[in-house]
Amino acid sequence: MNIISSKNISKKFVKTTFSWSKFWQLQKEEKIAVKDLNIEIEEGEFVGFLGPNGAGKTTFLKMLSGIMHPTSGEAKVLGFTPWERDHNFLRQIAIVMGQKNQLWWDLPAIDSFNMLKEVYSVPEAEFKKNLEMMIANQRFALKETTQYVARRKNEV
Amino acid sequence: MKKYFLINWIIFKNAYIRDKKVPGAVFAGVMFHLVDIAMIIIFFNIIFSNTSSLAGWNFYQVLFLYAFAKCIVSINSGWIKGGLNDFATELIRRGGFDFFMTKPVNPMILVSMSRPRLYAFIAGIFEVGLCFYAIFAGHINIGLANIFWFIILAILVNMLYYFLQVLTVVPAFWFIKLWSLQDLMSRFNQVMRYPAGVFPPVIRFILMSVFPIIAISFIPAQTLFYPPKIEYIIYIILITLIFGMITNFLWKLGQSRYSSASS
Repeated sequence: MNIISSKNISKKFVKTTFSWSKFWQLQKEEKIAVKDLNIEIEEGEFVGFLGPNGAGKTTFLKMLSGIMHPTSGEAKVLGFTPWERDHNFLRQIAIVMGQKNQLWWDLPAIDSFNMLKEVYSVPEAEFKKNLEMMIANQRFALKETTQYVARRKNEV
Repeated sequence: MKKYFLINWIIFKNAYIRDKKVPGAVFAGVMFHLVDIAMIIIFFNIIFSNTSSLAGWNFYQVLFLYAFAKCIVSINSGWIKGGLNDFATELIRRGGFDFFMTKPVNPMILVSMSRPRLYAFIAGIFEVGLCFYAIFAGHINIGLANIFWFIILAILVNMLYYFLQVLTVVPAFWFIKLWSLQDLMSRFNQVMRYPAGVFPPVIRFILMSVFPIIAISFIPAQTLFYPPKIEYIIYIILITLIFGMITNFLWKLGQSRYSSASS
């Protein structure tokens, strides 16, 4: 059964620029990031997504996670259309990109976790169990601030 | 609702812990507010030494209007302005808005309450004090019905002010680099301190309906001082609903245009 599918999904970025030499005419610069991409991923599959810089890998993932709307085409993830941002859908997914993490800027680790518990509506018992497991594995201090180096943030 | 309250509580608690470490910055923020208030009172004194009323409002009524307007600005400044400023200048431009888009909450609300400024609430206490001073020193008689409707309207206009503030930053979805957006509301705040009658009819119409910034302070204050007018109350309820819908619609439209700068 497919849990991720896309049909002819495309994304075109349009940049509008102004110049005094062509005062009455706005210049439009278009760039196609993703063009008619079809993909089907079944439950339990591990999929690597490879391509050169600018190939549209991140753009495609952002569309699948609901961050970005496509210019055309359809996609379904867990039965939801991602860019409709259904909260039941967003509660079930996570996306980690580059140097970004899920911590809330300068909150201490425990407050970041408490915040995410509320945001994701995690039941109290499940939250405590997971937190104890994470503390045992990572040995981080819950009260320590997250205003430190990126590596430490990503560990937390 | 409970979820947003708890998120807000965690953010506020940490803002308090953070601000406690820099009391000088908090003190400076409060002092700036107080100096601003003092300058405006001097300014009002100059005006009222030359005239006995402004559009039929005496010194203490105008002082109350000003203090009430400042309260609304301070509440919003303490609660949501920092987050919205961040949104207008950084989050869209650098792709930081991704963080909010992947969360199962309303991104508009989460962004708004992400950067509270507690000193604004402290300044707000002084402004509430100034409201009471204006009422007592001016010997203004107020009935229970006036107080009741004033409180209802005060809650509504705070929401309306929030919607207007969001509207001023929503264009950031389209014009990523408009740094001046964050200051737009500060300019509009300055007209909130005067009775509506001082403005020429066309400007008054615009500021009461198209961008109802003077309605926010004037109508609740008018309801407190004079017999409550049902048409004013209905008007505030209606424009709050309408601007709420417009704000929500434009925010969602902007969200669909979001092109996420980061990777």
